[in-house]
Amino acid sequence: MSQVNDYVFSTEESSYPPNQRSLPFFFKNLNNSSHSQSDKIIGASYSHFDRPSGSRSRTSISPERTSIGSVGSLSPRLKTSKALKRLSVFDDDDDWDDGIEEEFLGKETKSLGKLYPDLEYVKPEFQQPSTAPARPVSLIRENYKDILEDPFVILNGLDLQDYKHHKLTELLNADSESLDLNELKKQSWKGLPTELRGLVWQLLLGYIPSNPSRRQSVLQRKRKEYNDTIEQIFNKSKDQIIWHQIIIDVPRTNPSIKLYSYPVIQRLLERLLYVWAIRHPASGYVQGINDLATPILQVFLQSYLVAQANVANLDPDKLDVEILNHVEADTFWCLTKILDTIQDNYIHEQPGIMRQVESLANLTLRIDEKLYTHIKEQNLEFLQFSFRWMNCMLMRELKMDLIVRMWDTYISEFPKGFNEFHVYVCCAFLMKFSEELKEMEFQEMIMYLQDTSKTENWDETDVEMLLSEAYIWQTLYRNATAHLK
Amino acid sequence: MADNMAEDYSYDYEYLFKIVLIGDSSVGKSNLLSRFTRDEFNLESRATIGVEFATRTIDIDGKRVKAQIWDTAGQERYRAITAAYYRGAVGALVVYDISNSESYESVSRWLREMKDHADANIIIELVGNKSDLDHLRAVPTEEAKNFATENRLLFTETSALNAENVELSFHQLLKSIYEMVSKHRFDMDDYGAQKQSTSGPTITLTPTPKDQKVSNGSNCC
Ligand SMILES: Nc1nc2c(ncn2[C@@H]2O[C@H](COP(=O)(O)OP(=O)(O)OP(=O)(O)O)[C@@H](O)[C@H]2O)c(=O)[nH]1
Ligand SMILES: [Mg+2]
Repeated sequence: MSQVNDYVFSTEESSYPPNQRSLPFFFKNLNNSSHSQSDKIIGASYSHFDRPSGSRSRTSISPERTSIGSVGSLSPRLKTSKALKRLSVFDDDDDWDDGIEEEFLGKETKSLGKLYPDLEYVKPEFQQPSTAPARPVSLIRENYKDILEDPFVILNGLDLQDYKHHKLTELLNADSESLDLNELKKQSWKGLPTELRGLVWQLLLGYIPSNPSRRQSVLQRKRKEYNDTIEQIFNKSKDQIIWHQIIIDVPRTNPSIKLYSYPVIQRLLERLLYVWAIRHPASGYVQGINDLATPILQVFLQSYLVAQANVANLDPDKLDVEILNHVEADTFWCLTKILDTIQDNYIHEQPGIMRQVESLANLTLRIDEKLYTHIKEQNLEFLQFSFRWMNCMLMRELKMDLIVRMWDTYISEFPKGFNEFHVYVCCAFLMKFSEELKEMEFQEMIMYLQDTSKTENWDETDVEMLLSEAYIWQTLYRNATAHLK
Repeated sequence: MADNMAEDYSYDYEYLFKIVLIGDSSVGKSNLLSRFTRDEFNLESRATIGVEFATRTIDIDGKRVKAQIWDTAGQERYRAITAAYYRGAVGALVVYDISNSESYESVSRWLREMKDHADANIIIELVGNKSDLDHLRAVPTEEAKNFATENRLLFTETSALNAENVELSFHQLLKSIYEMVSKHRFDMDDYGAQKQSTSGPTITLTPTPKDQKVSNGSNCC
């Protein structure tokens, strides 16, 4: 196993914590093993209690492969000469289309016509590494600066691994005046490809307009507004109660995912959570909102990375700060959009959650009366186990990559995905354990329900099952829960 | 101590005591609980949302005493939800962080909270956690000890990290509750009868010394 220096990404088995200076002293004592420098990551070193939760991700990479710059060869390729050129995202002098000037990219006038005229799926084959000496390779998209300005640029040179997303790219590439949002929602419901997720989320949340002529100016304005707000808010004296809660929660956010251990990411989260809290005085910061910011943050960061890169292991210190700044602003606005639909989950006495818990109980009664009766007979209250499901959108019960997949559907159901639809998903989740639960008594039930290890082996198929069941029940029982907002 | 750890579903106990863990966010409540019930300290601990639950059965004076412990979220916003769990509790650990004076200053607020929502004769122990951070100490032991004495609270300093005094603090509380209960042994017959139907959170043994007025209905005798 070779040692790769100055490496933008580590593999999932890399050492962790990456930066011990930022950790409490006892962390150092407990983990005084040799691999501790953030800039030297030994591919094979493996610290198992820190194994990132995204470790089964299909998009993982191995260090040998990336170090010879042949990532592109690992995925299905397009059998056109242009497409083949596009694959070599690591080639420094890649001017893949002489017809399009580099600076022309990202301009509003740019045609976003069909990029793959003669697309044909071919099986992946081994490609010889092009350059002889191994050199560190950036897994950042080389056109990231253009993507920063116009997220649609990501469609250029896209090498989708899975042909099933053909329809989606066609949609996004279609003549932009008439972007079919309804069709886009349908595609999103079924799950999005990693590369396009950020773009589609931003479109469906209404953050970027589908109208191409306004896109760049809207983005610029939003990002500026966020930066100005930061300056304003942080120039005043801090609300100590809110700030204190945020700074003790941020280091406890997704502790099993390496990305969140980096100070630069922690500061970013602190800022955006604080700004959100100050701008929403009715709720302020409530524990759990920190969790909700992270799927968005990860997905948006991913837009600037090649698809094979696992964002969970990204070393953010190696990123252009411009990426981080823009991602922070975009995350803030999209988090705001989502939280706007569940505001009363976080205000005094949390009436939104109370209502959702009640709906969950009603639904359970209709769908699985035996389970409902058993729960009641055991004096188990729905609030005791489902409060957290509502407060954290099941983020404590499911791994990050599954949550991200789930949010494709939630966002496609926007603005009802995170409130009304979520209750049906929670109901489907509860039903998954119905048989086991009916055999248990109060204490076993509550311990079983709060134990997160029961979903450790879940994959996307399990989540997709959950979503389909939720959909069916929503269709059947929608009227029964009409009082839900 | 080889008591039932981890999977404590046993019905082999004579007393069931409901205990609550309260105190500011991040003082280490969840880690105290995991240290006591599973002998684990979790570096990856996440903030508690709502309430979490665990149990452990230990021996006190040759009797099997089962502690049913509710770990609550520290943030103010959750107070409405967590306060519901105080009802029926016979013991409470009010936790602060010895390296954080604000968490200690909050203690009186937590005690008031108990007064408003818990049974009048609940036994309370003040716990200064993170004693391993002695070099960062912000709350002198003597000060906290005096405060505890004045307010008739039990007191310990613990470290969930290195396990120091964790056993002791829970034992001390459970023993006190046990003594309180057995001092009024003839009340016990009623409680003993309830013991068999230990299904829900409402089944608790609430000590009701005769010299104190019982103000709640859950003791139904
Ligand atoms: N040094 C030290 N750190 C501790 C100790 N106990 C807990 N911690 C750390 O303090 C932080 C908070 O611990 P938790 O157990 O999550 O705190 P909590 O009181 O349950 O917090 P909430 O759930 O937010 O109310 C974590 O980072 C723990 O690792 C201890 O005894 N010593
Ligand atoms: Mg906790």
